[in-house]
Amino acid sequence: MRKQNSIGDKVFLFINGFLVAVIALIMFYPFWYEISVSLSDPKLAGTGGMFLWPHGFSLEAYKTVFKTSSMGYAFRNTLFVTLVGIALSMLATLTTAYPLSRPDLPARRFFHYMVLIPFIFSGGMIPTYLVVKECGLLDSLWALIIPSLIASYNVIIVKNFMATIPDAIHEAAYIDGASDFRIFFGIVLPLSLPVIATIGLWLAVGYWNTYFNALIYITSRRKRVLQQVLYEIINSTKSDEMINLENQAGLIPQTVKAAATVVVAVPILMVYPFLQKYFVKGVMLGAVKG
Amino acid sequence: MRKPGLLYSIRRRWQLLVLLFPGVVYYAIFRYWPIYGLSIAFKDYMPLQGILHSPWVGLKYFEKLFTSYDFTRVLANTIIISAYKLVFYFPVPILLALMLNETRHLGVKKVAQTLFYMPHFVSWVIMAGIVSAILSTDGIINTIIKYFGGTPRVFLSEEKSFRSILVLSSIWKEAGWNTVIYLAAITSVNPELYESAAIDGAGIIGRMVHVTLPCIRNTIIITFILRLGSILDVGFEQVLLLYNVSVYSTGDIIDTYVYRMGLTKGQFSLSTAAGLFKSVVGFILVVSSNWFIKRLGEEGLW
Repeated sequence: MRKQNSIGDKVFLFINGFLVAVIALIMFYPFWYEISVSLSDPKLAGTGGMFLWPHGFSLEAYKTVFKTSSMGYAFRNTLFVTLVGIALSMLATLTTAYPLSRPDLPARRFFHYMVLIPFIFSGGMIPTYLVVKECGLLDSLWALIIPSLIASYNVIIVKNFMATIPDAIHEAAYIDGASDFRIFFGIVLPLSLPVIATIGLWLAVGYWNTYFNALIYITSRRKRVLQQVLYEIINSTKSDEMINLENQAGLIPQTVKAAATVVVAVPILMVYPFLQKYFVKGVMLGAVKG
Repeated sequence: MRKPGLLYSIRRRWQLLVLLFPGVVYYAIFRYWPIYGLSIAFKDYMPLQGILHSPWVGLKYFEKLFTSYDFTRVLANTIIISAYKLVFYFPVPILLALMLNETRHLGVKKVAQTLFYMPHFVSWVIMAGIVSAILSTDGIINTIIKYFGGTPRVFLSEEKSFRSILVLSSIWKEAGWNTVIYLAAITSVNPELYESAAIDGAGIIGRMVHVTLPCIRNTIIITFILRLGSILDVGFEQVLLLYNVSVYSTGDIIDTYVYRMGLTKGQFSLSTAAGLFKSVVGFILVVSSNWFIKRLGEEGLW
């Protein structure tokens, strides 16, 4: 591969690299646009136009966003859902996947189909809503966690990963008198850290970005999550706590909408570049074997 | 040796069953009870009587559904939008992966990958907010139009622009991320193939067309078939957050229809009938695409 490239190849490589950079910048531009608007002077931003750089400079919009009470409790609710959701989903996914990865699980085929069938045939939106309702979970933050606790896709990925742990390890542990609990917690979990990291990050993104479930299950204003409040700010849905967001004309300024967007996006975007390799690894785990 | 009986293996491996227990409870309540709940498509669902005790009405709601103008339109929209995405979205990640693979400057490549993946991690709420900001009357697109002397347009309320907005915003949000699967396939290409192609005088483009593409052909085919298998899934949150009454004629899809009929208008049985239709067609498509992939000698989804 490291041979002399012909002139044509060099031109191609140059154009290709250039195009990749341009496309990357175009993909990033919408984010940059929001950042620029959020840092602009509210008076100048109101006129709209191109934003290659903030028009004027002001942190006013961020101050307004951080003072809004709805952002405060929405942040706490989202944090609760994300942290508790990751912990419970992870535990449930791992304890479901491990037995399925063992060839000597009693009634293994039955449990295998138990996980597989909902993956290809689901009750869908309305019956799921009715079940959540009959469980008495409506208008509870738990409704954002429990009904989506286990995803079959994640179980299958973790199961396939655990199945690659050599059987000899289990045999040796059994001979040493270790129980299945001990093998699971003491041997299998430590060996599964890469897949745990991958799934954990997927779960984090999923719970942090929860919108639709909150829309249908949550009715109390104080239980709304970040994405819901952001939606209301962006679309200027009136609510009492948002009065302080408005300017004299009774409108929420573009700068405040942009600042709220940035505030909601940043935590999850901060997490991912550092853990990018795990995400990518996880997708490959899924790609190699379904 | 005789195969050990079920009771024997339960006695030996009961701890595995204990570990599995919470999962079984979860699946029973939140995955299988809703499947049973689909029965309300054949009942007159009364909230007070619940799923179990509502009276049976046979195919009443299916007749209502299939004779309604709305459902025909919604079904057509779903398939058309899916087809658009298949034609215009599907090739983009492949192209981007090939381009990234030929990017020799490692700094550019790394930064580009990070920026490509970024939109995947933000919610559709944010993405819809950004799209409407960019398309608003004083947003960047209309500023450019005005600069060249055109009249500003309200893109998100135009029936004929809506599907293009869906496709373009999908490309922005997911095409970069979906390069991952193709990049993974490209890394498994045997480097010797490139070397012998180079010795035979193939340039970079030649190697891309005659080595890389054929080597990732299977991945492309499988991804394509799987996409066909989920043709009724068009991206529910995306549409829900971008559409409005003025674009229902081109943008309303099965999922948004089910949501509006069921959860905002309280027509539980009718919307469940629509949902059941989608689940059954989806099931048939996924099972047949899996069968087809296996016939091609590849590893299927299960």
